[in-house]
Amino acid sequence: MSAPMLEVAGLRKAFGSLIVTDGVDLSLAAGERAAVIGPNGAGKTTFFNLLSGELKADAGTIKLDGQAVTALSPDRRARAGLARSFQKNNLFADMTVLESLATAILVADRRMRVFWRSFGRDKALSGRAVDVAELVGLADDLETTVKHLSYGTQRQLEIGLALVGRPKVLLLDEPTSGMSPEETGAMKALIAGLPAELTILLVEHDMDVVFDLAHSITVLDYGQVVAVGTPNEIRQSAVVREIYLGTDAA
Amino acid sequence: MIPARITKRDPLRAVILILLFGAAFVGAPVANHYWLEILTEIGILLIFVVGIDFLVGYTGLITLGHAGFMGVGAYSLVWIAHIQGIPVSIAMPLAILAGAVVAVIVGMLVTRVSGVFFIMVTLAMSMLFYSWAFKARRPFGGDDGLSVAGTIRLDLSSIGIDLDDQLTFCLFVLVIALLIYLLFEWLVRTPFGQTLGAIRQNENRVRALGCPVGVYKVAAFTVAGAVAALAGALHVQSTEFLHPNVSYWIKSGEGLIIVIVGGMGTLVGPVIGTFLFVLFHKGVESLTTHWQFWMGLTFIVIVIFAPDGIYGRLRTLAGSRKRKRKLHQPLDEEADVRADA
Repeated sequence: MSAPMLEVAGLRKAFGSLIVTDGVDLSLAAGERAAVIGPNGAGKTTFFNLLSGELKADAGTIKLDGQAVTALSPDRRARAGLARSFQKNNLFADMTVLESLATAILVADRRMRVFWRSFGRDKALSGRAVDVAELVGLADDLETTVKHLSYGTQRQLEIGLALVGRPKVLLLDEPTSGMSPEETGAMKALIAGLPAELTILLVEHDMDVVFDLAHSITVLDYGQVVAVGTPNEIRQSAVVREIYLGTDAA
Repeated sequence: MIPARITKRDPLRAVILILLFGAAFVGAPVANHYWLEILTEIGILLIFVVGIDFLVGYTGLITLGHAGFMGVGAYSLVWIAHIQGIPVSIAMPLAILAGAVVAVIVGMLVTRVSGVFFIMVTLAMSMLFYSWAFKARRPFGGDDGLSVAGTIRLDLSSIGIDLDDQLTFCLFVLVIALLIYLLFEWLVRTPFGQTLGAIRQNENRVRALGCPVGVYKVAAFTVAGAVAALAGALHVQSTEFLHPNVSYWIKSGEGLIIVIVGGMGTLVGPVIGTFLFVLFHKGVESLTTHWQFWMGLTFIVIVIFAPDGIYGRLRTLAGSRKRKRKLHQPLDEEADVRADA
């Protein structure tokens, strides 16, 4: 078996005396679709922020494709191939969809310092932006200003912006939060349709989404990993049922 | 289908620019001493103000200390040319360079904070400079100022241009102002400018995309600082008198007001604002000593009725005319979007 694409070992984070991430291990193979679940306050978001670099871990290591990224800032992790979406839409509200994607692509391409060429007339750039828009189902909204998009469509753009850097690993923070059932279905189809070589880690509340998309599931509770397994194993795990699904669920 | 352009054209700005600069260039040769002074002041203020708009309107760095860099430019030029006796043609680029260097250092400090704190720290930085200049009796004359007549004007006689002639100097300043405007107009349309705009709209997202945001803020601060130093160097050449007031916070505040009233993040709006500000100032000043009161009142009215600034209002008016013509198309964009999702 090849080396893991994302490998987390002994990750730990405390806020004062409160330990929110307590020795978490996680290993994802290339192209794997994995999910982290857990009840409210289990430390999912903290774990996510430790991975993306918004928070610095107290101890432990994070390796991306064999390279240690534990000490890197969020922007350097992004450049190393670790992209993230945000739980709340985090977009360029006053740009059009096309402009947003083109801007994201130029940043991902490290062409920010180019001050001698036109941005607006860059055909190659707009061509690539259109490709990404098609990938996330936004081809018909190119000229729409982002703040005028519906919530679900904004979530699609959110994923699109995370994809522009052709990342190795995509971290999705509750991609279906706040969505209607139809929007959730569309988002599920969108994630399932992403390139097979892309490694994806979901942090998600919606059980249907997790069980449909993930090959493996890691369950967190009080900052610790309490179970790891396939969706079936997790569904049948007594521990998980008790802490997460509730004792009545079966 | 790939759209031809990523961003939309804005033909209105070219029209306004041609009208304003056209009037200045046509008016200057027939202007008397008083009006040449006004036009020169407009040109210098314009250089200062478009730099502020680049920072405030494009990068989202709201500075209340930008006049500090005018001070750096003016004092550097006087020190190098008037006191050290180095030719102005060498001293002027050095003064601009000094503005850039100071801006890099100050920029690295101030961009660590944001929002109100950024406003206050930039204000404090410029006032540090002001209070130093205020006390610097030797060699700058402190708060009495320093007359630098005869030693501070750029000498372009080798190419047949006599900047001691008031009209020539005025045209020289206006040409530089136009070039600086075009420089910024160009910068904001490049990938670099687009990145700055993205940082203004959503800094965290840009960082998540892999951009070292701080570096780009400092870069923007440096460009604007160098340009303000150029404005300061031209200002002291124009008045031939050096005074700490060039860096006083009220100058920074006026610049910010002009940007807001003209239309933040449009570049051409602040150009309109500069013309109006100077003309209004001179006009009201000749009628009453309380010109600042009337100016303030006017600005309040403008901000209430044109929250996007004068240019924002003009663009809305032009846009709504266009929309009315298109109104027969029953297109509800939002409904379409919802159906897609």
